[in-house]
Amino acid sequence: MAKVVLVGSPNVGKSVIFNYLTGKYVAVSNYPGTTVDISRGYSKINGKAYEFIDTPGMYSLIPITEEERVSRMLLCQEKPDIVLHVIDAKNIRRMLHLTLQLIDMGFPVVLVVNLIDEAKKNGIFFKLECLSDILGIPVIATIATKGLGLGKIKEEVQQYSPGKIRFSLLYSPNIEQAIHSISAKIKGEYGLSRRMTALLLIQGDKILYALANHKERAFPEVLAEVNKLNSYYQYDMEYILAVERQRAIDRICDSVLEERKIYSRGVGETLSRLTREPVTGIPILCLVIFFGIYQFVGKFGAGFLVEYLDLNLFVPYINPLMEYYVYQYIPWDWLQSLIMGKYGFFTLGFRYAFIIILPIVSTFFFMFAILEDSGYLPRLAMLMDFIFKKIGLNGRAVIPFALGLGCGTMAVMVTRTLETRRERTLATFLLSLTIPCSAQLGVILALLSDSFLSLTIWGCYILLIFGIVGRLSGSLLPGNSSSFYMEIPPLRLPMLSNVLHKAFIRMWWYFIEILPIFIITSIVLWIGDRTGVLTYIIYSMQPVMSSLSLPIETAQPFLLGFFRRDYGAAGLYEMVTSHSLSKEQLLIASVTLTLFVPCIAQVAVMIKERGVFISIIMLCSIIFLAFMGGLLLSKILPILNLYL
Amino acid sequence: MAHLIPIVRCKKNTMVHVVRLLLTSGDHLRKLTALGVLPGVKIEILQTYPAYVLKIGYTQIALDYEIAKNIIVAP
Repeated sequence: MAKVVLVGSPNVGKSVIFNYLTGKYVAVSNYPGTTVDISRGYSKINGKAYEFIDTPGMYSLIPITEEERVSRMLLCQEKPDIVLHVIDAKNIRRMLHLTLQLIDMGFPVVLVVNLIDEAKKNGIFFKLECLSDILGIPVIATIATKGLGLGKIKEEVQQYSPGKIRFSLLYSPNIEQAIHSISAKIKGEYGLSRRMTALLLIQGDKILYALANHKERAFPEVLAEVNKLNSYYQYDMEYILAVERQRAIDRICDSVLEERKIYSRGVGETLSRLTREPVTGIPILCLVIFFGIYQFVGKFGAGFLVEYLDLNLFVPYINPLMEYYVYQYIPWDWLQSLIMGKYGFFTLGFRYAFIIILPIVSTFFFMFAILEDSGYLPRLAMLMDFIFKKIGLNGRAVIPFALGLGCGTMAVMVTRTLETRRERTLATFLLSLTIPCSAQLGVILALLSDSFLSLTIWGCYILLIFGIVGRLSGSLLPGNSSSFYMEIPPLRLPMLSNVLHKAFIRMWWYFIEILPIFIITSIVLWIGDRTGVLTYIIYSMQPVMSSLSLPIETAQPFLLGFFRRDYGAAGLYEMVTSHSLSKEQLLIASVTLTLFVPCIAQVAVMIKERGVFISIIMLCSIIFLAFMGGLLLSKILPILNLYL
Repeated sequence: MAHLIPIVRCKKNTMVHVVRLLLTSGDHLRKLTALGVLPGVKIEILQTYPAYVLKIGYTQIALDYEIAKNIIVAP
C-alpha cells in the first residue's frame, strides 16, 4: 500500500485535507498544537489503496517541541511514497524553507498551496505553473475549508511519478564542500538522503547525532569536518543555512509572486487588534468567560439542559420503563440491584453519563470549538503570558489549561506542546490539582449558582491555590521557564458545520473513554456495597469528613470522585437535592472535590506521559493539598461569619 | 549607517528592518529563524505589551521580552 504523509507548519489546514482524503475526522482548529498524535487513515483512489498519515505541525526539520520531534521521526521512519507539504499561501516565503528541505531529503514532494483565498485578499497572486517548473514538483492550489482544489490532490497522488529534474539548492562553496566530504564518510541508513544527513549533522541535529554516534565508524572524522565548518562562522549553522535558503526563496518568490499592495483594515483586523490589546482584550476575555463558560455551559448546559432531560425524559419515561422491565422479568434480587439499585449501572452509570454529564460536556466542547476555530486562543495565550510566567510556565500553557476546563485527560495529552519537561510536569500537576473539567465545573456551577457569594469564594479560593501552589512548585522544580513565542493566526469566522463536527468528535472520544469507566465504577461500587466493604471505607473516612465539618455521607461522593471527578460532583448534586448539606458545607465540599485527585482516565494518561514515579508523587501531594485546602476553608468560614 | 537598536526599544506602530540577531546559538535563535525573523526582513511593530506582536510579511507573531530583545533592527 502506498503511503502518503501530510506535513507542514501548524495551522495551515493539514487536518482538513487529511479528513477529505480519508473521510475520517480529526479535530481541526485555528490554533497551533491540536494534532498531537499521528492520525492514520485509509482510502482507495480509483481502486488503489493508500495509507494517509497526518502529522503534528512542524516549523522546521530540526525539532523544538515534542510534536515536531514526532513528525520528524515519522518522516524518517515511514519511508513515505509521497509527502504532501501543505503551506499557507500568504506565508509562502517562510514556508518554502521546509519544502526545499524536504526536496533535499530526497522525498517525492507535492506542494499544496492552501488558503489561496486569504492570499488573494492580501493582494498576493501566484504563477503556480512557474513555481512547479522551478521546484520540479507538482504544485496544487487549494482552499481546503471550502473543498476547492482537493480533487486535484487525489489526482496528483494517483499519477505521481518521480523523475522530474528537481530544484537543487546550492549553499556557499565551503558549505557545499563540507556536505560533500561528510556525505562521503557516512555509511548508515537514516531514512534520509545522504546530502540531508550531512546537512543535519552540520546543523548539530541531536536526533541524528545520537544515531550516527552509534552507527558511524568514521564519526570522529565527521565531527571534525563539522567543527571545521562551524569555526568559519560566528552563528549556528542552522541559522546560516536558513539565511542562505531565504535568499534563494526570495529569488524564487520574486519570479512567481505578484504582490499588489492592498491595505485592508477590515473588521477582522480591528477585532484582531481589540482582542490582543490588554485594555480591550481583558474585558473581552471576561465577557467570553461570563457568556461562554458561566452562562452557556454553567447555566444553560448544566442547569437548564440537565434539569430538562432529568425531569422531562428520565423521571417520567425512561426510569419507570426500566423499573417495569427489570422488576417484571428479572427474578433475582442481586441482578435487580446491579441494574436498578443505589449503585446500579443503570441508575448510577447510565443516568450520570447521559443525563448529567452529556449535556455539560457537549456544551463545553461546542464553546471550545468556536474559540479554537475563530483563532481566539493564541490571543488569549499572549494576554495571559505574563501571569503564567509567574508560575514558571508561559503563555503557551494557556491552551492545555483552557482545554482542561473541558476534559483534563485531553489536556494532559496536550501538555506535549510545551517545550521542556519541567513545564510539562508543572502543567500536568496544576491541571490535576486545580482545573475542574467541564462536567465537574458544570455541576459545581449549578450547585453554587444559588449563592453568588459562594461561587465567588469558590472561584477565588481555587485561583488562590492555583497561584500559590503554582508559584511554589514553579520555584521548587529546577530549571527556567522557556520564552514565549507564538504565531497569531488571523481571526476567522468559524463555520458552524466544522464547529459542530469537531464538538461531536471530541464528545464521541470522551464517551468512548468514559462510558466503560462509568459502568465499571458502578459495578465496583455495587460489589463494595453488597460485601460491606463500601460501608467500611465510608465509615473509616468519617473522621476526615468531620474534620472538614462535613456530614459523613459526603464520604460517598468523595469515593466516587476518585473514579471520576464529575461523578463525585454529581454525587454532591444528589445530596443537595435531598437537602442534606448546608451552604457552608456545600462550599467546603465543592472546594475539596475540585482539588481532589483527577479521574481514573486522567491518572492513566498522567502515568503514560509523566511516568509512574512522578505521578505517584503528584497524586499524594494532590490528596494532601485537597484536604488541607478544605480544612483551611472550614476553619476560615466560621470566623468570617458570612451569609452565603 | 543608521543607528541600530534592539526591537524592544522601538515604539508601537513603527516599521523597522532586521539587521542582525544578538544570539549566535541556541533555542531562541532557532525559534526566531523558524518564525521567519531573519536579517533583511521588514517588521511592523503592532503591540509591545504584554507581549511583542510583530507583523512579518503576512504573519503576526507574539514574542516575550526575553526573546524579542535579541532582534537588532534599524528604522
